[in-house]
Amino acid sequence: MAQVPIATRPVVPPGEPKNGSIQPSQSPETLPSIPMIPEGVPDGMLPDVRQRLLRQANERIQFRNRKLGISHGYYVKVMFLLGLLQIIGLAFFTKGFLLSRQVLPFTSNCMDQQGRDQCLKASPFEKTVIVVIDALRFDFVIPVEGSTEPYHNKLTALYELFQNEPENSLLLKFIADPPTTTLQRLKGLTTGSLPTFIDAGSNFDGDTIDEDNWVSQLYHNERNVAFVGDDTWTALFNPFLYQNLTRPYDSLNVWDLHSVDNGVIEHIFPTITNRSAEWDVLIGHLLGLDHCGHRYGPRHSAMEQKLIQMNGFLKDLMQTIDDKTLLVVMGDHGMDQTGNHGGESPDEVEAAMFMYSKTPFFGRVAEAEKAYDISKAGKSFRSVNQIDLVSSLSFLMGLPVPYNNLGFPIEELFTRHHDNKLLAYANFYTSVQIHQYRNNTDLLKNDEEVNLKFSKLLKKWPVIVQDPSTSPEAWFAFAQEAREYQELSLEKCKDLWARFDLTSITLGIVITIVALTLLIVYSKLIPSVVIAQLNPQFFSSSIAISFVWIVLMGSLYVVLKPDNLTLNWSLLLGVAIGIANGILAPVMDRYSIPWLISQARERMDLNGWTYMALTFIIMHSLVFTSNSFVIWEDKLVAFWLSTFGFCALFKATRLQNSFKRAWGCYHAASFIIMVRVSSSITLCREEQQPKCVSNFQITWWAIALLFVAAYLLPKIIEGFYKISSSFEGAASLWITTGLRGLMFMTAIHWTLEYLEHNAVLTQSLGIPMNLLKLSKITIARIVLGIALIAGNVGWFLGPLCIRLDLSLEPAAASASPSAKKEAQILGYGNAYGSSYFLLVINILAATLLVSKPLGGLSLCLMIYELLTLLELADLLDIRHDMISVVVMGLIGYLHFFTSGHQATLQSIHWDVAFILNEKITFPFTHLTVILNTLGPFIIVSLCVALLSIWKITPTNKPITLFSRIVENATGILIYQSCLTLSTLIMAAHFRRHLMVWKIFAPRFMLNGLIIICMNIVLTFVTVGVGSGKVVKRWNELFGS
Amino acid sequence: MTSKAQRMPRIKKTVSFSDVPKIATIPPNDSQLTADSKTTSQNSSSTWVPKLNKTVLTVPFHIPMFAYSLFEHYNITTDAVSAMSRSLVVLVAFQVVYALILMQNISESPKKKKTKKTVKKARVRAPESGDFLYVTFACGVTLLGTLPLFIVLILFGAPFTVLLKETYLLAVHISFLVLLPLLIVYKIADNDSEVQPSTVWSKLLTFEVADWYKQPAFTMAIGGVVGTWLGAIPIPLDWDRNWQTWPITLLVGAYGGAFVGNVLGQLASLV
Repeated sequence: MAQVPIATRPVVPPGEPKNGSIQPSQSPETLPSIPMIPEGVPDGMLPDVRQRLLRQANERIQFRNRKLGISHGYYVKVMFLLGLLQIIGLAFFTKGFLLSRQVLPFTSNCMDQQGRDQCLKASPFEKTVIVVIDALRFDFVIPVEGSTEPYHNKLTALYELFQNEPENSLLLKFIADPPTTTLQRLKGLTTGSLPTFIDAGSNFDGDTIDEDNWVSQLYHNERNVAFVGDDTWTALFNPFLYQNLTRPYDSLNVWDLHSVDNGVIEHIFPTITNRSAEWDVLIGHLLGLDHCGHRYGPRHSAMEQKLIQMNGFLKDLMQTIDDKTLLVVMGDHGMDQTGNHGGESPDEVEAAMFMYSKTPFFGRVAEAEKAYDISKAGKSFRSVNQIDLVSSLSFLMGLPVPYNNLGFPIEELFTRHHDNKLLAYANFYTSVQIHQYRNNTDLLKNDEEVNLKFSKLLKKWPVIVQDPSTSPEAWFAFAQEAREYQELSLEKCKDLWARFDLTSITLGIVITIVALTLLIVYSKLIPSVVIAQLNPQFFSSSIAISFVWIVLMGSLYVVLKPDNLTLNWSLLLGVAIGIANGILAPVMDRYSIPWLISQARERMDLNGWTYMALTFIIMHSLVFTSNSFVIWEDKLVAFWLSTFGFCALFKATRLQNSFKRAWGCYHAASFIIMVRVSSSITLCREEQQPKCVSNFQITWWAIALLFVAAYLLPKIIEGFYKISSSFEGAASLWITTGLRGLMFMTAIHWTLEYLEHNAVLTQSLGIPMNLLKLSKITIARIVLGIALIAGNVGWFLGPLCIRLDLSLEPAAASASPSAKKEAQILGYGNAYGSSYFLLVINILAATLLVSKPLGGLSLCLMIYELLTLLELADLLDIRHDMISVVVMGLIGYLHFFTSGHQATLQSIHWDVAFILNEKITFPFTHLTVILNTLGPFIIVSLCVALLSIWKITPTNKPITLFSRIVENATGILIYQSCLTLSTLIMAAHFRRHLMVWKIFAPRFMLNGLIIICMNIVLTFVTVGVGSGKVVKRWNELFGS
Repeated sequence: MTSKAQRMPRIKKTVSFSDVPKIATIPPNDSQLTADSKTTSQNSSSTWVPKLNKTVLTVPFHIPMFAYSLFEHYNITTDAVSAMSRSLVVLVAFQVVYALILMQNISESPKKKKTKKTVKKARVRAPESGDFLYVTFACGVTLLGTLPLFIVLILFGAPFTVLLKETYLLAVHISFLVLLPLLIVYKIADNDSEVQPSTVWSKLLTFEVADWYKQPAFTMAIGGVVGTWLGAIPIPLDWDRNWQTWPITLLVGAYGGAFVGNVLGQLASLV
């Protein structure tokens, strides 16, 4: 220690006893009442007194620590209740907004549906081969004149056959119901029912399907279904598949273009030729095209190769099948310009469907010229719904139509003989099935308009069947009438399921408003001293009143039997009311509403910063009123952050102390630059095209920068620690060794990842693929293990970033021989913060691993911004101003966007799920995706506590410190709740908007996720474990 | 920044091991600091800044007219770059004339009035050669000022790979609109003035001037900046209007804001 201490403070004010745990030998001089004990004096009475006093002091400290622990615990408990209230509100809204369709557990049988033992079999085929080519967009398979796109005019075999052998083949545009994700599509393609939006989230582990579908119908009719390809099928249908011939392949590793396809191609031909006796239906699902789209986008030469490969495969397949086999080729969805899918744009919805048999079988609709028009990339080509395949296949295979089906038979499959009798039969039976389904669904059965249409059909049917002279025209007319019924029914169903449960939506919004009000009252209006006293009351009365309300709501439910509220939901509502009531009761007991309002007015009257914070909150909430603003939210967030940066720069120039002014200007300027630099990392959403250029890709320079960051970021953090001379003790182990080491390993991990997908490099370097994969996964596991397990365990043991420095006091040393010794605690000025930040570093290291290279760089910039913000908060004295938490929240959003995310389902990085494991395993796969998606928000939530504890000396009023931390934690929750409330209101308001499922609903879902994540992290980690541990540790060590 | 480098205040905790109980001392430099800051803050409040005479002449009526002509005459919506560069000459001409008008209407400093009463009597005087020289000088500074403005625009999120011409022209327009009047009124170098221009500027930029809202040139600058900021808002809207192209909304925001700011400042100074 070269510097002369400038700001020195004694540990203990004179006259106050202190805890002896640090240096037992120092106790004599701190207890002035006790006379000095000369050394070497034998133990006598004096030490007894001393020990007694010491014990008393210790007891006092223990008592205070216990008290501290209890009141800290109450903060966590009350925050938990407040969080619970918000989540209940969100749950109610979600229930009303993402209405789920009623799934009936019944299965169809031939007797009920068609009035006979054997179902109608409308084809001569004995076997069916179904090939699903994932993401086979319609324009991939038709000739597009003059197009030079790599995906056009490559897969030509299907349309050639369709033209040249019209009786043997059929090509149709195949319209998917959004969401266009594979799991939802497979459900629709097998059950014939409409998808629900909420399923999209469960794309990850789809459970076995419990609705009636043709796969289970085949199983129950003792036919064997062989399968090879995408393992989503086995997740959905495993009990119904023929196990001897089931070969699932991993579906979600989107960087793997070939293994699923090669597997399918390898197994499907031998199965057809050699083992045909064993199966009746063979399903193959190829994923290469979809993965190619996700990885490279459609405009890439890999796409061309893939389509050419598919072309050859399909040609071979059509050669291989025999006369009695029907081949069905279809895409489950398309892909957009970026190669992703999930939404409802035409490119995503329009897939292709092709059927082929060696025996002539297919008819054509009237006015074929017009119907099968391929001009303008097949814009007006005849299309059918994907759910129509279900009833059609059922008739072709002689099965009853699945119970929940809503689709109608495809006309061309039943008009080969031109008498239209078959078509009429198929349509009638489908109508019967749909009627049965409607009749058993409470919401549908009382629709008189639809029922009337059906009763007309029912009346006509015996007449037309019994009359032998019925003309083909009459059959066709009847079929048309049945079809009209089906179309009407489908339209009504779609309309109904697009309808929202307004009661639940309103309840959800009201609960959220109440939660927000309580947060504001709790965080901003009641004096923090009172809060600490009131917390036990809040908690106990909430629990007690919740029970009262649960009983009350339970009995109300029994008496009133509300239509759209089940018992569980009523009880949950009881909990919500109970919490709100329980927290309000002690508040209202002490204060009145006018007092709270006057308090609010007083708090409002603070300064420019608070007004700026309010402006940001209001503006950010207003973003959700317009779809354009939601689309460009990433740019808006960066704009606001720059505005804050410039205001901070301006404020810093006003600081009186020239030293502080220089630092303030420096930090503000670097904040602005960091924000600008990080906002230049973009991953554009579809709606931002063409005004936005994505640069979020895994490139060699991004990986090189990762290495640079691995060197620089620890240096930067070190610099920030050194400002308060806290780079002592555990800091260098954590930051220089730990973080740098982990970051280097992360960079190596991404280098390997890059190598793995760069075929040219791997081949020329001759790296074995297995070794590459193995080392990649091993590195990832080591990094995550160290960061999350070893790091956090180590952190619990209590690293402190301080150093004791023993020295002789210079003045005393020269003056007298009995020199005074002095210990300096370096890093005392940032005792809490430096220790707490090590926890942030743990989480940061884990998040960096699961972020793609540019995302990782964005996170590094984020840490720099956060540290700068902490310094600014200290210099500008805005630690407890609303602005600092709002800016923290904005930083979270900025880096959510710049780490390659958008508020859309398509932009979730599912591929990082395979960083730790090659297969989907709970919880590792989920952990990586959650860390990747919500990482910035988790880090920001952790850093909120630092606003209160960064660069402060240990306090002897820890409860006040907790109240400060809680105020900031609830502050960021207020901000986030305002946004959530706004998204809820706007999503509900725009529920009929064209873009609701594309823009508003995903944004609302993102906000829901963020607020749940923030509540959990803030309550349990930031306030609970994190700051609790840090503050208590100091208290235990140094008493005070 | 001051040249005197101050040492970083280090906060440390000391534990004494001596036999004699040590009495806490307040770190000396803390008290010094507070004393220092008190004296400086006392000085700051009494700074005099030049004021404008209360006259309609200093209201920049040419600004709305010019903004209107950008659309009607220069067709900024069809080609922003050419419209902005062609109109620049006119803008500079207007602003120079406005600058000369401003110079005639700067009221004298109270001290100056006393000492130099005999030299200058009339409150409104004819432009002198020195005035022309100063305006030319100020224009030069204004041109230099475009560069930092350009950087600020980029830092606020203007694209930095494309549309650079547009952004720079925007910076030039804003600079002449906002910076030139400031330079004229508050002077960057003035031999006569007893108050250092540098202190005037630092007080101005940190809002430490008493009654800043009564200074039309200053409120005009603020209005221009705020207007430009607000001008960024309509860009993302999907209305597909040709005026939504970069940087028309910001330019209009700057012009509108500057005019409104000036008028508000004039009104405030009347009260």
